[in-house]
Amino acid sequence: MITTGNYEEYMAMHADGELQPREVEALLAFLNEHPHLAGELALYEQVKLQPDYGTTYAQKDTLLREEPARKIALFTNWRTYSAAAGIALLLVIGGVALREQNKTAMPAAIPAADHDTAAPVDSVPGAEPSVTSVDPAVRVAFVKAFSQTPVVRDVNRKDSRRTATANAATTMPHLALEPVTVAAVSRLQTAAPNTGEPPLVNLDAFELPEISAPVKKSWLEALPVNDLKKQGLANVGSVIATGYEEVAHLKQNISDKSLTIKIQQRKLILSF
Amino acid sequence: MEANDYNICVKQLSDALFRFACKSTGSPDDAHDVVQNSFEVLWQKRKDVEAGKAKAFLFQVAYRQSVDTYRRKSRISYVEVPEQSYALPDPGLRKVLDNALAQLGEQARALVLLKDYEGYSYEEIARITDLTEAQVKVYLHRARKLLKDYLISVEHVL
Repeated sequence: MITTGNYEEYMAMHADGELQPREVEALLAFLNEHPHLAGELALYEQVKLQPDYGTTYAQKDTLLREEPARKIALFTNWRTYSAAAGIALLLVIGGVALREQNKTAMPAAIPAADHDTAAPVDSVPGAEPSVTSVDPAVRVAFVKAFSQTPVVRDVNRKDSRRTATANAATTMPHLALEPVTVAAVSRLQTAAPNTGEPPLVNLDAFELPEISAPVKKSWLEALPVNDLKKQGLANVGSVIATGYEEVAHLKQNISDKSLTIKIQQRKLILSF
Repeated sequence: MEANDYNICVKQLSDALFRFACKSTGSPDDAHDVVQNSFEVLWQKRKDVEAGKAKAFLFQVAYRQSVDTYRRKSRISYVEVPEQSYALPDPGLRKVLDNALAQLGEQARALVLLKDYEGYSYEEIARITDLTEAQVKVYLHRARKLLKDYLISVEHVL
């Protein structure tokens, strides 16, 4: 209901174009009843502002943008990758070095396995008469007596294995098979008759060969490179080990801690 | 909104935004800053703003910045736009209305500009200014009445 108390509100809304059709009809009916207020409606229509289209923004070009090129981040955690690559490289180098060391230590081991081409131990020049002629019972007793020595173990093996041992003896003197003479076997038979008990063995002037422990060499020393490069590799290994310890120490220090970052009104809490 | 949509907004809306900011702040320099900042905000939030709602978003940002700028500087004088830019056949009436507009508070002035310059409805203005529709209706009514009274007083003087 439009009255003299609220007609200005309707006139303002009419100027704003916010009246419904029936409200417009009601306003026009009110003005028919109060024609002296028609001029006021014209004033409300007049105070509507008109945009000045001549005013333009001259610096549009400064506002234009281009989509930033997307950066494809490869190897974001390159430190991890490089550390892993370094460790893998060291492992490969170490493996090659160990392989070379093994080849150097036992060069005749593989050829000695060839039974057909290797000479039997009996035919070794200068060797004492063959041990194969010894009585089996005596041989068992002999084995029991010298079971702790490599010499006896080699005696107890089959002929084919003995052949390999003979060849290896030329390259590894500390494992050389001592010849068992007929005289020694005869003494053994005499001293230990077949009573069921293990015979007592007494060999004159028989000394067990001394087995010298192989000298442990660092894999780094076995590398087929010069000393300068070995020193360099040692330094790299030391640096990697030091870095790993520092990272482990840092990780241990930051455990059970939290970091709070405040950005304007928001807090970012990082817990470790 | 992609970069292409943003650039279309620049070409289509920067003039209207500049006119609104000029009248709201009363200073072309401040209006320039308002336009720059408004489009910067739009660019930063372009992923969250749909292309169809970019205009309302821009005017919302510009409205807040204009009101803040005006309040911060506490301007009393109102900088007039150059005379040659007027397009209406009655420059006298436009000048009177500009002066009358300068008498309004910064919020009422922005409401009138959003209504008259951009043709937004009460509901749309309420969304842009974070006011209720009833508040927009009341503020605009008061502003219209003040403009009308100013116009009548000037006519009496002339």
